[in-house]
Amino acid sequence: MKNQNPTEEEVLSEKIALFRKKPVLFPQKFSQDTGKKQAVSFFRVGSEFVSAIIASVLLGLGVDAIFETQPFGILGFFIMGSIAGFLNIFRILRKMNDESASKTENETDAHL
Amino acid sequence: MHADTQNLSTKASQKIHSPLHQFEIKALMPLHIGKYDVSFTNASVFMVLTVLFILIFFTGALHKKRIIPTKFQLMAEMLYGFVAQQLEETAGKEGKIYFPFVFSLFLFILGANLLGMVPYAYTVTSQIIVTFSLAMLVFVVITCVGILRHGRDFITYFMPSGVPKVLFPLIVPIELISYLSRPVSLSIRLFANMMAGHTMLKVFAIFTVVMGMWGVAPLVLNIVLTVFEIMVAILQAYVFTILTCIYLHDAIHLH
Repeated sequence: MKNQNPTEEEVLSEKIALFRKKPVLFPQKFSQDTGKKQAVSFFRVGSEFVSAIIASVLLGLGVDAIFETQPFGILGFFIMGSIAGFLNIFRILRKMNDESASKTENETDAHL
Repeated sequence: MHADTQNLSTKASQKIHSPLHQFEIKALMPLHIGKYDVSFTNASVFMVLTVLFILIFFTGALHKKRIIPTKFQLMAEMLYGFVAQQLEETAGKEGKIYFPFVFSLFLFILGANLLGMVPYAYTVTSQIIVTFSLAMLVFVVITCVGILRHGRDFITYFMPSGVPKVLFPLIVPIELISYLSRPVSLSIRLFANMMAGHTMLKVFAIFTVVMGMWGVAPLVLNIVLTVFEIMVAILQAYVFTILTCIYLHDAIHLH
């Protein structure tokens, strides 16, 4: 027989029990998480390349000012900064690719 | 006729501020220590207001903890849970001890971004020095975590596995630059997004005023942009936090 005046705790326990009975759509949650991660990656791609060049040019200017090596410091660091920027983007894209591959794999498993 | 037109345009330009006027720093309490200007500015006021806003929100929301939470308690708990989950997923269980740092950072950026959306408020995160200071804080903390955890082995972070030793003189400086570019990347991303968004809002607001009856079109666009900007404010706080978690993971696990 059900309690006529359930306490707040009892109502909450009942709600939790009902919620737990609902089937959990794991693939959907997974795709939401992947979407958030991809959004972060897109924002990163836009700035990683530029920031690597800015950081390296600043370093090059510093080296030139200290060792009086104009313009070789800024030139050398600019080239290295560009490579570092490309490397950063390559890593982000590789990570995105891996995540997308594992997502497809999970969705296929869920369908089977 | 020409003089009249010129006169009118001068009057209009006097009434309407530049879209960048909103980012101007004004010293409210001028103060100099030696040759350094440490005045209390409008940016400082909004930084204090951001912290107060967070404190009041959390104190109010968690003042009376209830089993069935109130809306504010639920919001506070959801924020806490969200950051805790992201930190655990990204940095692993070992990253949990840095939760207070990551959570404070997230709340400050989120609070500052959202407070900046209030009309006449100052957007603290649209100043590169503020975002750069936050990014440098993250950089210094993460470097210290890496060095304290791994000691001398931290240097292997700049030597990727699988690379022949002959290439180290070329790879190590590139990896070092990539590492040093992190605070620049973190700060520019946040500052540029906030500044560009607010400038765009102001530009369309100016169009609304200047275009008279036809100003309805930019007004509608401005409403859409405001919603978009609120989304960007939340997303940028999330991006800054998640990148901090990724960098923490790298410092804890070395790659």
